[in-house]
Amino acid sequence: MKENEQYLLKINNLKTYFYTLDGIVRAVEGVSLSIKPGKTIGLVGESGCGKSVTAHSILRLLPLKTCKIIEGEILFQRQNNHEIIDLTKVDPQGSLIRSIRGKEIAMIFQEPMTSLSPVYTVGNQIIEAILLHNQIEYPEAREHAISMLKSVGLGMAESIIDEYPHRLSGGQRQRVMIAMALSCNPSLLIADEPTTALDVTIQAQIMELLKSLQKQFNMAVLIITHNLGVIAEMADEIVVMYLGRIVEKGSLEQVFEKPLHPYTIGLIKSIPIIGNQTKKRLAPIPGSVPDPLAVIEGCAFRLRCPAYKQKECTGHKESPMVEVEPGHYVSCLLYS
Amino acid sequence: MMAYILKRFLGMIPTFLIISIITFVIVQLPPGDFVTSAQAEIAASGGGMDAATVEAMRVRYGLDQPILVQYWKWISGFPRGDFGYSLEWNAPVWDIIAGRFGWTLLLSGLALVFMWVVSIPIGIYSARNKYSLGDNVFTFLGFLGLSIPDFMLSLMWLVFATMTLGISASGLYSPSMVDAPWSMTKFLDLLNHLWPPIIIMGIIGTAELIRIMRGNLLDVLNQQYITTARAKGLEEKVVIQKYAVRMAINPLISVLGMQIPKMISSSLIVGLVLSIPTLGPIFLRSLITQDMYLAGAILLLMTVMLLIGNLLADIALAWVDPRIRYE
Amino acid sequence: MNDYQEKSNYIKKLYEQQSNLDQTIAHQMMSSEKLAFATSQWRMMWRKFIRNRTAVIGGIVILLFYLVALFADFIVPYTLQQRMTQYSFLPPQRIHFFYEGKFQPFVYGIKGSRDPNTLMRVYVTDPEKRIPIRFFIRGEPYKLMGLFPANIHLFGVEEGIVSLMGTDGQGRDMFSRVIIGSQISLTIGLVGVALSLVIGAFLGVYSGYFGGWIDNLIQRIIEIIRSFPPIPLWMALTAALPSHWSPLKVYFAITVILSLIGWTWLARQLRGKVLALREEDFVMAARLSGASNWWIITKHLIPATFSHIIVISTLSMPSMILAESALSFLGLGLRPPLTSWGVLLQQAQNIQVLLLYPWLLMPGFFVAISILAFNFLGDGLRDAADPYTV
Repeated sequence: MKENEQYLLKINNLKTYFYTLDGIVRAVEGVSLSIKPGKTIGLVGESGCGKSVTAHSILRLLPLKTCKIIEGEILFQRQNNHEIIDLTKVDPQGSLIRSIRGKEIAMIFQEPMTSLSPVYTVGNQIIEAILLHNQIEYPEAREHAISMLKSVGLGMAESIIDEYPHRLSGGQRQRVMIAMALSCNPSLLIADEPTTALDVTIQAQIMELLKSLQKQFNMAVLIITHNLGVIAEMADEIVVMYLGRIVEKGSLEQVFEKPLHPYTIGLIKSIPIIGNQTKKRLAPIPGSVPDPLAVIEGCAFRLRCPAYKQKECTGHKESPMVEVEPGHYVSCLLYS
Repeated sequence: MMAYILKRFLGMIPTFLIISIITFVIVQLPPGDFVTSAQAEIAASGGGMDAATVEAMRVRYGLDQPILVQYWKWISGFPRGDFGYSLEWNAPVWDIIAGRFGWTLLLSGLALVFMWVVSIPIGIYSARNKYSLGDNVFTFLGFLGLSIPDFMLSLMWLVFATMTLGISASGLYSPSMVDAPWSMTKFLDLLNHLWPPIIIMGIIGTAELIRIMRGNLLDVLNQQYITTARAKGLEEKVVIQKYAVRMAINPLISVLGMQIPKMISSSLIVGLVLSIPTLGPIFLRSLITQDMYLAGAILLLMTVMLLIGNLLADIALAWVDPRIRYE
Repeated sequence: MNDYQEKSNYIKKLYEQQSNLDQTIAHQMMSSEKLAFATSQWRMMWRKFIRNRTAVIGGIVILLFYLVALFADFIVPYTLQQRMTQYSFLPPQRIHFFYEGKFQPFVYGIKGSRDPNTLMRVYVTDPEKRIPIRFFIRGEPYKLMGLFPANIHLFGVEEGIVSLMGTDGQGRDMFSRVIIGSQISLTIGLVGVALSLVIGAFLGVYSGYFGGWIDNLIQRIIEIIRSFPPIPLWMALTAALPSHWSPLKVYFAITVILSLIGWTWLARQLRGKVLALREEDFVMAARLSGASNWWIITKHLIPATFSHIIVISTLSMPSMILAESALSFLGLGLRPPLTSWGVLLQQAQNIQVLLLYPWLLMPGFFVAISILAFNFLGDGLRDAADPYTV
């Protein structure tokens, strides 16, 4: 208990599997991480590595019939009485999880174009969330929605509130999504690839906005991305995932300046550096994510690992997580 | 919105003209004309006509004039509500078809209502319980409904009603009621004769709509805004009704436009088999006797019903979907 | 420097060493992967199709129907026009398969007489008289597939009558007529779809690929045709067929009339598909490397839309069969002596007749079953052709 108290959210050894017609997809295979109040964590990995599934597991938004959390716990500290509950144990359609969704843990998504229903005005969709979680009347909720829209930098909030989503730009819509997510003052915001579908200049604006709002609202943020560059400015801590497993985690400086796992090293090498004049090509990590259905014996990254290819490592077994310096963990046979 | 409606309406005019020309050409296609077929009929019953009478008849009906003149005479009457003159019935076309047109419209309309009322709830159930027993049963029934031709269903109903239930199933009224004065009993009798054709007409469309509704809803349920709605903490019931069903119905409205021709076709055939005074029986008769103005007017009228139905569907779609409304 | 940092730097060095090597490997992999993808796509479709039980059953039923149609004259005991006037309006007979515990199919003899009051024929079975059903029996001569003269029938009786579905007013065996009628009912859809396919595929691919004013014109024409309700249009067109035409001419005229509307749907679907494909890399690559339009259409676009074409053709079969039977039923389509299921159903038009002899409705069930089977098959094929959705 004592140890948990300093965490807002603590995931222990989470395993989430999908049961498809072709077999079992082990989307999340033993993930552990924790988020402190008011801090930002970046969850990084290629598409299909299980980072989104991890996030959806927290809010229990996964498909009921095909997906199961088979092991692990997700401990979350509630707002009012600091009571700690295990989210893996709650009914995914029950009233308890619904009182947490949107109220204590909010979420924004990758595709601002499709995240809002096209047939209702943005006001309708924001006010609905406010009315749901607060005991207030409509006019007050509308006032609050307008002030939220203003605080995410939408100048014409009074007119935007009555617009339909398709009349807004991608950046505007993502701002609307953020306003909606923050409207009930959540203690944790999960941002699932919040800038991937946006133009580069808008990306920077949205990240800037998230950063300032985080301070303003004093909430913890879990940012999920495949792009390390996106979170370099914002995250306090970085967790790198590969094939449902965490391969490395540490503080921003640790991971960026002293990356350990070959996968992390590859990811960092693939970030373009602006102003870098050399004509060198960006180095992608060779190969692609293996078939999700395959059960991989030994090291999961083996097939793409330069050390394995050049016979420097046998990759014959899964590596334990080792702490190479305080707070900096890696799971790689080269280090154990 | 008004501008949109006006634009669509004006756009229909050239289409209408082209269609009227094609219709006129089609009803002109059979070799010979009404007089020839009348002659043949008289000859078949043992009579005969001399050449002068034949010629006089042609002149009287204007059949001796060039085809363009005939077309112009016919089409120029339309704006005045004059749809031509039936050669066989010796009466203005409109007088003959007005009542039948009403029945066609009524039956088709009610069949459309039936389709929607039945298929939307079933479609929702099937999508939410994908691959469940109920879904499989409805899917199978849907396939069955899709596969039994409407004339076959009508015939089966006739046999079943007469032989098993022992009730009269053809026509609008039971034989004993045809000449009776209006009363509650007669009205009920009429209703009893109306629901079977409505259901028969609606079955194929219902099967189709269930499939489309199910597919749409399954698509929509995978959309991001559904997850957004759930992540807000909304109840599943609200998520389904407000976000999923509301969106899944949109494409159904555009399907409405495609259902109308089937309704019209079906009203013809069901009318023919069950002896209901839709446009069907008289259309068939007019084609056989080459009563060309009558046949042409009916074909054109049905096409116009289709055009207007499509227009209404488009307007409805623009009304429910802001993305179209603002274009 | 720490031990772990050395390792980290070492890994970076390994990356650099291999990056050159990798580029060649990546290239090789891409071309072989593409090949594997192309072949595995058909396999995936097949795997997905096979898993869909109703679709497989539909496919088997259709195969069976066409096989039966091919050997129809051999399978049936009587020929199309063979009249047995003493047995007019005979109800379907019951076939007994076992006699004294042994497999020996037989029917009982039939005695017909006229009811003195209603003047209708009444039949009683004669339990004393067993007529064994013989297989590969000699009967009326016919031409198998219209080519090979023969007189062996799959089954039949030496005396009396065997009638699985009863007879019509002229004493013709309904079973024989329905089976032989399937030849026309099932091929008219096939020919109609083939014709629509030729027109639709050509115009659809053309207008999707080239665009421009021709595309515009084709789209307007399709719009006009589709603004007519199909059944009334078909009725008007078939009513215009001259009555003195030969049966064969009428048959082809009807397929032409049916495909007059059928092609529009096909063309629309294919145009959409081609529009999407046109922007794909492999078409662009072919164009850049100087391939002619004809080459691109025949070597790239048609093969790429092939699965789509199969699905659309299968799904258009039901409406063709349906339309033919409806038109013939109304007396506007095929005419005797041509015999299709729709033509056979003309006898059922008279309600009084139908109520007395309901087995005349039999051909309608064959229409329904064939449409059902095509719908099942088409649906399964459609799902399979899109192998990436579950």
